[in-house]
Amino acid sequence: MNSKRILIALDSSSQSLSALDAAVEIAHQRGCELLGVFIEDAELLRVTECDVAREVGASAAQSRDLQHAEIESIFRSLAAHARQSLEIAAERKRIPWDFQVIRGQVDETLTELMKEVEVTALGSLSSRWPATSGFGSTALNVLKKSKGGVFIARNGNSILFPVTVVSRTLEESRMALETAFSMGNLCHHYFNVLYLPGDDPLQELELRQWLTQVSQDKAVLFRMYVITPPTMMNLAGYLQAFRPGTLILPDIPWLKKARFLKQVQTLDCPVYLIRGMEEMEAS
Amino acid sequence: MSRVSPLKINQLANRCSTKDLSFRTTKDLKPVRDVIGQDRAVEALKFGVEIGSEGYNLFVLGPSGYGRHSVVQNYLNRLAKTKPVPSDWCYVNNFVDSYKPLLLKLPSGTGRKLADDMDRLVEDFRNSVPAAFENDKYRMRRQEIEHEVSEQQDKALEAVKKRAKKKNITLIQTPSGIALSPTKAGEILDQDAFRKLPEKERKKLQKDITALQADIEKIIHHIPRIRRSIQRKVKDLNQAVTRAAVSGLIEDLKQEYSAMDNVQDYLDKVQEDVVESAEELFLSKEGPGQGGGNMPTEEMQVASMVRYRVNVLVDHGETKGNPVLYEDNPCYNNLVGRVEHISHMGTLLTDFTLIKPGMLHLANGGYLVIDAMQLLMQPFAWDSLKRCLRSREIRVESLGQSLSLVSTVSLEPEPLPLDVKVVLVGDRMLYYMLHDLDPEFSDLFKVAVDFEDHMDRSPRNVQMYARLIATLIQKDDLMPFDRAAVARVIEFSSRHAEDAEKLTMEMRSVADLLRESNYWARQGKATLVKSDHVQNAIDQAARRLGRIQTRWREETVKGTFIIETEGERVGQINALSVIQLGGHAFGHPGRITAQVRMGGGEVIDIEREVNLGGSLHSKGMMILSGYLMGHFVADKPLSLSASLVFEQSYNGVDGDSASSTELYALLSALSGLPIKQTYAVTGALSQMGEVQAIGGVNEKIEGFFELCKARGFTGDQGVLIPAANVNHLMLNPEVIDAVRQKKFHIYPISHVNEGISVLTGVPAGKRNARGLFPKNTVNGLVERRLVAFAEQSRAFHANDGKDEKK
Repeated sequence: MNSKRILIALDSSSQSLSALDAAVEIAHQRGCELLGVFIEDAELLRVTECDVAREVGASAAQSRDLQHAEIESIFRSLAAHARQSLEIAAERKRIPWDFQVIRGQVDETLTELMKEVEVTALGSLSSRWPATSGFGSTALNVLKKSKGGVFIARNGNSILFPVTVVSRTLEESRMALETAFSMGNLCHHYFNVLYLPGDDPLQELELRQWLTQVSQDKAVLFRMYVITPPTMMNLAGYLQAFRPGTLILPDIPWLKKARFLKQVQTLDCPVYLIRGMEEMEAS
Repeated sequence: MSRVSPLKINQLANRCSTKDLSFRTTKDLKPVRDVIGQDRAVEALKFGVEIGSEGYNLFVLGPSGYGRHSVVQNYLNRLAKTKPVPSDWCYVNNFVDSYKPLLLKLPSGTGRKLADDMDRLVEDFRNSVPAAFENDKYRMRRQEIEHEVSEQQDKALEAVKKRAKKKNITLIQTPSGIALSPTKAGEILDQDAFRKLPEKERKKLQKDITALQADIEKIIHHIPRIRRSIQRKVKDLNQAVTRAAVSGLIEDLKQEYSAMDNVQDYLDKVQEDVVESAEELFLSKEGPGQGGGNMPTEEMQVASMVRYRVNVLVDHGETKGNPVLYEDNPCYNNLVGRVEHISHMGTLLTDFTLIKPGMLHLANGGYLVIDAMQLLMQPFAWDSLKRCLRSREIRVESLGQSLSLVSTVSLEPEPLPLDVKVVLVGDRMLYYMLHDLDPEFSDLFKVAVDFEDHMDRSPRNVQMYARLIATLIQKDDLMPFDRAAVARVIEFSSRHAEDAEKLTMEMRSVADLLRESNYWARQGKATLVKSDHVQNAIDQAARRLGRIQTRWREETVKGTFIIETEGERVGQINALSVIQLGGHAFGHPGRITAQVRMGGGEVIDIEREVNLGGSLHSKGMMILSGYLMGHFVADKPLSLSASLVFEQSYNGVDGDSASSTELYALLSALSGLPIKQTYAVTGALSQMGEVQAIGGVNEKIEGFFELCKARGFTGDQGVLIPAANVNHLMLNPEVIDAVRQKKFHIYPISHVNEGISVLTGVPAGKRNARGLFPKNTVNGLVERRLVAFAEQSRAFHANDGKDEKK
């Protein structure tokens, strides 16, 4: 795994551009490269090969035939726009970047590419119709299958306040906060830290001490809450109550569960899933 | 007719004796509080102020310097204190039509309180309403509502997807919508694979795609309706939250104004508007409270909430009684108010908070005093005042609007009901002109407050006048005057009134004299002002303005202007006129000459012939002709041609005060009897020969006196004046001394016969029983000459006829 690359899935939607902003900040802080990718949906191109396939336009509700050449042309235009956006954003922070246009099945292609990067950033939804709440299928797929960090932008935002961090250990908290700090100047903002206690009671004390120190060093404010018992539904309840501006999650097993994902989706905030400690040590 | 005797010393001026004054200095006198000598005016003022009927505004007329403004203001100020304080008036936003701000009438002192309370209420709104929207329950409920859009879309699309799946059709996202494509075993069919299907299956797939397409189109078409419904729900939610947040605050305020229905009504409207406008005022488009979202900026909020402010137009919180206001710049805007504008990014913006009051607003319920001339000089001010008084309301609009010159959208504030007494102050000429030329004037200014020019110089009034002088001295913080000085001031007052039995009410001149006397006293290091100081002040004032007078006298003494003061001449006489230059009047002797011959009966006024004679002068000349025709050779045609002229006069002559003088010159020319040049004459003539009163008698006498003095008195010099002017004499002490020493004489003349006998030394003559004048009388000689002219004329014309026949 190349730990110095951040993958950004671009489709020129406002969501993906917000994800690009976040990716640029993270890359800048961590000294990573950016790999932008535009995936030409092979399935869609295949559909255009069938005469009987029809498209219903989202803006005018009018139906028409699908033209292969037209779809290709649209893809090229979207890809060019995505490339340009990446170039501008990366050059602003002088970050090395690369851009690829790949034709293939979106989820599969992304899954392959995720194996080679540290973090994957994308928008929660494409710009396509209908615009639903929650995560799109690609975002859900990435969350489930990614082995590295995942950043999902929501509603055109890359970072909102207050930042809510969920952690189980001091190390997870440290990673989460370093990730948060890497996303911009967070002075004078406050953070919620939702602590899921383990077996070691001293962890909580250490964590509090460390937070106090960071608060002084970084001029930020922390509010720490201990989730007792540290169950999925309890955590979900706290998240609903606190309405995080940005949610930073550790790679917890519940994340794969549909119920928990549904709760996270309703929060309507950007989500950052940080890579677990074992994966970090391995790399 | 008995010989005319010159006037005695005591007839030359009405001296004010110190024995008539019962004080030592003005310190002993109590100041005057009330107006003196203006009983008529004060009664009219009282009447005009108290009568409540429409149209009874006041016009205070009289010359300047007579204390009109101060009398009126003092009277009104005293009266106004006893009256109740009028209401406050405020403009508030009209939530239905913001271009038509509404009025609120409030008890005095309440307007400012309401304005402050509303400012505080707005601050409370800004604190409490956003807090209500940051409530978690609100956010959750709003998200629930907003998610309904996507939920309904998702549900509908999901249903289509399911139906499609059953029919082996898949839905795929495209960049611009949704594509429908046939599948088999979950795989998308390309063209070849599709063609390989049985025809029946192909047709079915096509039909199903068409049907599903229609379903998706329906879903898309339905979305705006869903959105609208959601928006309504969100709006209802926002309004409910806002209502809950503000109703308590507004109720509290309503309690404080429970007795005022109009305020209650207004606060209800404020509540409705806040609730209706909650989204605009407190919420971003994207939802409440999420940090970093686009909340309306504080600046935008403050600007939007201006609509809840109260513009206190008239605040009587500090007023005691009725307001009494004096407007010294009665231009249109100052009278009726204005709507101001603020320049913003190249455009002019306004709202109801920028309505400013005029004097009519501020004086409403009380009194407004305006200088009439100032008012008439301001464009459109007079018309606008009349319009307000007629309609009994004040409409705040720009001149452009009122004249329909502009058509841009502007405010139309609700007109304010007007209840004011307007007091115009102006001179008499202005009053009478307005009365004659402006038909509305009589309807709107029915009360004339006519100030007297002078008051009787009775012993009581003299005492009051002395107190008035003491009041002026005190007001200007001058040194005290002794009683001799006050007596001299009183004499000055009579001189100023041009009547020995009157005292002038033109207090400006009196006040000036007091100040100048004080100055001269201080120059002399005195601590008390004496009569010498007063006389000096009078003399110095005359000297300051006497340059032309001195210059003329010098030229006359030198002989540039030919005025004889000795000897006698036929057909020549010294006349007297008054020249008014600035604030100074002086007598100016002139020479009138007359020439006579046989002619057609005309008396030529040379001044009139060359347009240097005014109409009054021409009238005098015609009266003179009438006298001649009526008194001499009535049974014969007047065969006289005479010409009369003011010698060395190049500036024009008007008035008839020299008509008797001109007659004397003519009688001298006709009779051949010389007129003594030691005399100067003034007096207006009637057709009966009566010598009538003239103006400026003191200045005229003193003018000739100064000339005689400059040349050296001969002992027989003097002035002939109309007997009717004797009561107007207030000659200066120098003239009186000269008369006392018999160096100068003043003769009162009632009839031309008296005058001609003094001037010629020959009796005038009366017709005897046979209707003839005695031979060696002036009239007899005149008539004989006129008869001779008539005979000559007849003979001349008879010869003319004979010559023709030849």
